[in-house]
Amino acid sequence: MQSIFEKMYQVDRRVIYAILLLAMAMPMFFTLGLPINIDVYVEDAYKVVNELPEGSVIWIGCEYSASQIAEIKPMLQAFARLALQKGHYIYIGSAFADGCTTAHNWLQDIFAETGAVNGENYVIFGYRPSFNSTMEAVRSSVIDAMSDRDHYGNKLSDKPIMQHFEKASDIDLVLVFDSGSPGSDDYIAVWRSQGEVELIVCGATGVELPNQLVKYDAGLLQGVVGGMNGAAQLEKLVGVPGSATKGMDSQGLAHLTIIAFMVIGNIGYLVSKSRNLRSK
Amino acid sequence: MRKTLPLVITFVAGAIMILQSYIQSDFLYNFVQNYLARAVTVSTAWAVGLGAVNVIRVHGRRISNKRPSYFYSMVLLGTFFWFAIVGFVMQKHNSDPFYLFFYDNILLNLSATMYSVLAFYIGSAAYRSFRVRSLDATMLLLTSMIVMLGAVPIGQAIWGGFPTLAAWIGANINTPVLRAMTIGLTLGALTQSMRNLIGIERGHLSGGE
Repeated sequence: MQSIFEKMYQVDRRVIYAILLLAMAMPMFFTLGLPINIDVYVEDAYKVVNELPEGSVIWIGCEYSASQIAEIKPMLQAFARLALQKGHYIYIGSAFADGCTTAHNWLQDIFAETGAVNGENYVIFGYRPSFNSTMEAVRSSVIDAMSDRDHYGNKLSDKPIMQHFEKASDIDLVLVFDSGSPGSDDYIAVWRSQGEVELIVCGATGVELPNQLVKYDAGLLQGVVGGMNGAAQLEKLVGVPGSATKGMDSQGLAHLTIIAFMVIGNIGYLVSKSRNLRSK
Repeated sequence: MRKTLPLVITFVAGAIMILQSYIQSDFLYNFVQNYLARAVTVSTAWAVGLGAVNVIRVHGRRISNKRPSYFYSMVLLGTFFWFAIVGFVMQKHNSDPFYLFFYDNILLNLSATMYSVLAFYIGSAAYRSFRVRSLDATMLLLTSMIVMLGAVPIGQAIWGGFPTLAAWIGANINTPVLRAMTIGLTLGALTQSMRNLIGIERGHLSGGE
C-alpha cells in the first residue's frame, strides 16, 4: 500500500494534464487583470519603431510557421499597427512557407483600421526559398531578388511604394519575427555585417528569447519582444490590448500549476526517501 | 568525373563566396548577385520538389503494402494532393478565400494544436525530472521556478523581486553559457564547412569514400 508521500511523487500524468487544462481554462470565466510590467528590451523595441522619422522603410521578416500563432500574431499586429499609424512603409518577406500567408491573414484588420493600401503603404513580397541567397540578391536590387512579383503575383515595379526601397541599404529598420532558423542571426550575418542595415528588432518565441537577449546585450539587436509576455507588454505600450494580454492570465496560472506539482513531487520524494533510509 | 565535378563546383562556388566578403571587386559582387544567388534559389526549388517526390514514394509504399497505420499515410497524401490541386489546377492563389478556408481551418488549427500540446508534455516532464537528487538538480529546480515566476505578471504579484532575479539569471548565467556554446558550435560549423569546401567530407556524394 503506497503512502500518501509516495503517491505525491508518482502522480499519474493524466491527472497533471487535466489540472493543467483546468488552470489554463479558468481565465475564460474570470480575469485576474494583473498589471503588466515592461522589460527594458521590449521598451527599446517599441522606442526604435516609435522614434523613426515618418516615411521610414521597415522590412518585416516573417520567419515563423503557423504553429507560433499564439506568440507571434499579437506582436506582429502590434508592430504593424504602430508602424502604419506612424506613416512608415512596410515590406513583408519570408523564408518560411507560412510566413507571408499568415501575415496576409493576420494583418487584414490592421490594414483596414489604419487605412493602409497595398502597393502604397505596404507590400507583401511572398515566400522565397533559400533565405541567404535571396537576402544577398536584395543587396543589389529587391525587385530582381523578388522576380518582380509580390505575394499575389502582381508586378512589384508597378507599385508606388517600391520607389522608396530599391536595395537593402534603403532599409531603415528590420523587424524580424524569429522562431529559429532562418532568423535574426541570418539578417545580422547577411545585412548588418555588410553595413546594409543598422537597426534590427526581433520578435521571438518564448523558447528563442534567451538566444535573442544574448544578441541584444551585445548590441546586435536594438530591441527584443519575447513570447506572449513580451507581446502583452508591447500591446500595453501601443495602447491596444489584444490576445496576448488576455493570454497572460492563463500563462500565469499554468506556470503556478507546474510549480505546485514540482513542489508536491519533491516533498513526496524527500519524505519517502528519508523514511526508506530510516527503515534501513 | 561523377565525384570530381561536384567537388570542383563546391570548391569554386564556396571560394567565390568567401573571396567576395574580403575583396572589393565589382566582378565578384555582380557574379554573386546575378548568378550564384539565383542558382541557389533555383536549386533549392529543385530540392523542394525532390522532397515532395520522396514523401509520395514513402507514403505510397506504406499504403500499397498496407503497413500499420497506413490510414494516416492516406490522409497525408490526400491533403497533399488536395492542396496541390487547389493551387495548380484550380489556380487558387494562397490569398484566395477558397484556399484560405482549408489553410485556416486545417493547417493553421492543427499546427497550433500540436504546438500547444507541448505545454502538457513540459508540465509532466518538469514534474518528473526536477527532483532534489543532488546539488546540481536542486539549483536547476530553484532556477527554473524563479524564471517561470519572473516571466508572468502573477509571479510579480506574489513577490516583486522575481522579475529582477530572473533577469539577473538571464544576464549573468544564461548569456555567458549561451555565448560559449555559440562560439563552440560556430567553430565546429566552420571546420565542417572547410571539410566540405576542400572535399574531405564526401558523404553527400553517392557511394561515400
